[in-house]
Amino acid sequence: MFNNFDYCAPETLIELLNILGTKKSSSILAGGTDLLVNIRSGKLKPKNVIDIKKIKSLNTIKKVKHGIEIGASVTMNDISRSPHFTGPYSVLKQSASVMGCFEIRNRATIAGNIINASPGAETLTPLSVLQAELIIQSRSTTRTSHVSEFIKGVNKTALKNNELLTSVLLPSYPPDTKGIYMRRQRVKGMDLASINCCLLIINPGKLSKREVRFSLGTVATVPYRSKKAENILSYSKIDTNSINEAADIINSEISPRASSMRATPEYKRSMVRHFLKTGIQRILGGPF
Amino acid sequence: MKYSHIGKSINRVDAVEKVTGQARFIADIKFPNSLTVRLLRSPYAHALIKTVSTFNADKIPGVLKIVTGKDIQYKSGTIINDINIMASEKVRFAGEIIAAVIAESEEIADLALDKIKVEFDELPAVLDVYEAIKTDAPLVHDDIASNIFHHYKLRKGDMYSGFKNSHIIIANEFSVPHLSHVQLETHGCAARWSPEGMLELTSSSQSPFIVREYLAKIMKLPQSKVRVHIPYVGGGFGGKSDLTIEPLIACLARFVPGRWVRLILTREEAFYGTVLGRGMKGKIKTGVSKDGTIMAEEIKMYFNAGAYGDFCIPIISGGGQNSPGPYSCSNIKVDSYGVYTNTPFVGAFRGYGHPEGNWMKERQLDIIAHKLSMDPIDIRLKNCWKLSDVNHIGQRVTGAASKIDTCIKKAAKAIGWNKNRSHVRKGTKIYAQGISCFMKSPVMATNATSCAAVKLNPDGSLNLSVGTIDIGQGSLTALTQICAERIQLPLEKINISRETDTDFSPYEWQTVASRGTWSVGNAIINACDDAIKKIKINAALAFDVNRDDIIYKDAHVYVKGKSSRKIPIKKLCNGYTFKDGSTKGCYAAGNGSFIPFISRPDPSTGMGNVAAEWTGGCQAVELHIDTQTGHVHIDKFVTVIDAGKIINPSLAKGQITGAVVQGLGSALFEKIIYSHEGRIRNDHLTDYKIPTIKDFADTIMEVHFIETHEDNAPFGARCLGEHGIVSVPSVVANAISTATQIDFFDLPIIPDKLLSELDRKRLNDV
Repeated sequence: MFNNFDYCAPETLIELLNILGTKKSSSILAGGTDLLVNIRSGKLKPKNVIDIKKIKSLNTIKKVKHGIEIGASVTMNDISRSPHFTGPYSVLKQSASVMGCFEIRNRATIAGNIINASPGAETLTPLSVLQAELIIQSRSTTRTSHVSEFIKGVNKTALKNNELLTSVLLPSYPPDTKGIYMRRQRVKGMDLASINCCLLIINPGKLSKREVRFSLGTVATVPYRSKKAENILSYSKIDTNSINEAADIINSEISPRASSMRATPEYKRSMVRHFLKTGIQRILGGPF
Repeated sequence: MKYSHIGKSINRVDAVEKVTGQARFIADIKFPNSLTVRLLRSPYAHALIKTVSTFNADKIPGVLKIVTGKDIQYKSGTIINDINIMASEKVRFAGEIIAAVIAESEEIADLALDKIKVEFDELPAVLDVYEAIKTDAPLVHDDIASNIFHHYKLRKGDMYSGFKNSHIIIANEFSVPHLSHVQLETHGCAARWSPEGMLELTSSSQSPFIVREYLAKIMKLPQSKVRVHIPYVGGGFGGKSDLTIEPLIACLARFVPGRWVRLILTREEAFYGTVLGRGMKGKIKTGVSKDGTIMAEEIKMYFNAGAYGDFCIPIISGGGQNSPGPYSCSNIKVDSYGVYTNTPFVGAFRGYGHPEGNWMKERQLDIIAHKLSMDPIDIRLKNCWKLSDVNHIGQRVTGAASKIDTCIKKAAKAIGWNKNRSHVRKGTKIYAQGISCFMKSPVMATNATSCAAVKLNPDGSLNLSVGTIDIGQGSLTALTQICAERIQLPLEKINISRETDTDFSPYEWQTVASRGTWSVGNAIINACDDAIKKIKINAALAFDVNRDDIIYKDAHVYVKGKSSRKIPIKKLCNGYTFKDGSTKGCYAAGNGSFIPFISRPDPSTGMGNVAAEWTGGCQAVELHIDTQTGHVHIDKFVTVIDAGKIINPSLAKGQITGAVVQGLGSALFEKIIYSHEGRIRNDHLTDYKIPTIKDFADTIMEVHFIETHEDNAPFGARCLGEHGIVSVPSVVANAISTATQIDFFDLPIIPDKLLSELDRKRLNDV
């Protein structure tokens, strides 16, 4: 059951940051697809709920000098429909368009998905390989962070009580950069990812400049990238052996939770190899 | 026979109400001045309750009463009555109710609920049937010596000599997990005691007359003073049959007479606060001759009934009784046990004991066929029931039950069965086919009566009332068709009552066992005949002839041989009015009932005239497995069933297809997952996965009907409903095993399991 809370919906960012700076035990309401679930289950009992949907500046996707900036309250369906997410950025669109169900995607926001910090969060693996900059503001400061340092654990982030994640900046990449988002799920309809991943290959056509990035969800408490595995696949010829070697390295580094109801550790390890093989095959041509 | 309404795929009579949201379900009903209930449930699967302290929570303004187990002296159930409505001394499963708060609002009730503190002494919990039957296992009920509370025995022929004469003997072990029904509508109930001591109750039940009988008995009221009303119900699958939350709400309402007490369960509560389905571990040993004839069979089934066994008893008996399937065998020994464990308890679930036995027997037949290098179809054709066979419980196989071979051949043809092809590899995919037979009898009480009432109106229209509930299966429509055909009226002149009320509706045992069309249909025919008899009485007066000379045809009557002078029945509904205004005769309302002729089994052999009918058939599947992901894709699924005459082909096909999809869920995804301590970990739809609209959208679903006329049945129609689910897991597993050369014994077959078995096999094969 819902406990009582104070609700406010400021119309400017400054007003909002002021409120955050003064009111303790505040929860931000954007789409509410996690907040309401957590309040219903009793996991959260906020005293204040601050709705950010009325702040127009947080609800835009815009092309900026060095990439694309996505406002905090941009929804999954906004991303799915936006013309901006092509080439390297298409991975974010791919992930946003399979999250939850259509109704959820109408509500769920990019910032909410990041801050909920679920190990299988749909947008975290694309944001991790794209090395997105998370722009974080408080009444007195503005700072940036990356997924790798911002996500601290299951439902844990480096966000402070007085801060708001205001936008996400996707840096620019060579235009032929290609990426793919993949997931396994138990049923074809609405389901959380049993395991998900994002593969990004920068300069796929130029071996000497080719960089491979690969981020996995649900295999650790945070999106997982193996520098060692990425190094094996980057700047050199990729064949079955190198893919297997990279998969072996990742599988030796991760230790997926045995108690997961969505996939066994053994299955996740098989999928790591499968994702790497099919992902690379689809971007570079195969077979491997 | 040419029919006007039978065999026609007319639209559902409740279609418009449902698609426009007008149909009224319990959650839509406003009960004036109603009170709300919040329940305190046990976090432990097995514990003694030391103290329950309410800390004056009942003094909170708006709290009317806090009820604990000590306040309720009744037990729930219809057979052994072993179900605690609320726990008082010990809790036997996580989720069992310890206290209830009755309050003016949910907010107030929650405040009170937070104040109630319970001290427990935790006891070791037992969750698995094989653990529970060990001599040193914790006892779920201290008043019986072991956790086995029921044993059904079937003894036919001489099993030992049958095995002795067998060419090979194959023994295997199987399991089926606990499942949840996941009805779209969760359970709801509201009750009010009137100041003069009458009990009124509205519920989402499939079984209003069972609820009435039970409540009248425990409350010591005449049944006429207990009123049970059922609005539209949003899915049942057996999970709303017998009794669920009605005893609790009736007991709680007694503390606040004059006020409605209302409870609608959350989705989580529908998992642990009602009944679960299935849950069985079993062993099957089969002896066959060189040519594949089944010589002897020994079956042991251990049903995981959970904390209370009452509702599981007929499942244990019926499941055991039907476990040999539609196959002849002279020497059979079946032992089916009901076992208590510390899980939520089990009740009826679509299939009612049959899918459990089918899972073992049909997998076993494929394993045997493989050993004998026989085609899975041939071993089934060789052993399946034929006309005049005496089946395993000693009943002679007649009519449609003898057409299993026809169904097998038709299913094989429809799937394009290729004897020479076991599986086909295409890249990373393996394609294979599977086949399984099924049969089901309506496991029911020996006095499982259905009644119907028809009321002809003075304008020639007709109101039809029945006590069965349309829980989505379409009975409102099929029964209207039966009535229209018998009374010879156009469909639009007939209106069937949408809601059931024990105060007005004809008696009905309960809406279970796939028996509505057949059993209620028979009652409707009798009711129509009764009304026609009254029309004829009035007509005889009008024509001044003998009643036997009256012909009733197309809603008109005439005297035999004189069809030129007809009277429409509307002139004969309310007696017959002569020219001078004087009226004679009777009102043309008809009543009908139907009582199936069955008896209890002989307790020593388990045999007897137990089953009122058998409906069977065959299913075949073509599927492919992605060897990289372990995903199983169902390409084509064929069901052939002989359910006698089909009243409404479109609805019948819908019933079968729905059952197939639900069965595919239990074959491939569904399973209740317990923590070590015995709590359900997936008591929510995030992790209890049922098929979605997308999962089998591209599966070719075929349903074929063989329509062997059934005697003493409405236009020859037999039972149809649950049948489509019975062999789905086995047929899918048979195809998967053909594809992979790996046998699967446990459900569900999830990609994780499939892929790890494939990897193990690849390693072994290298």
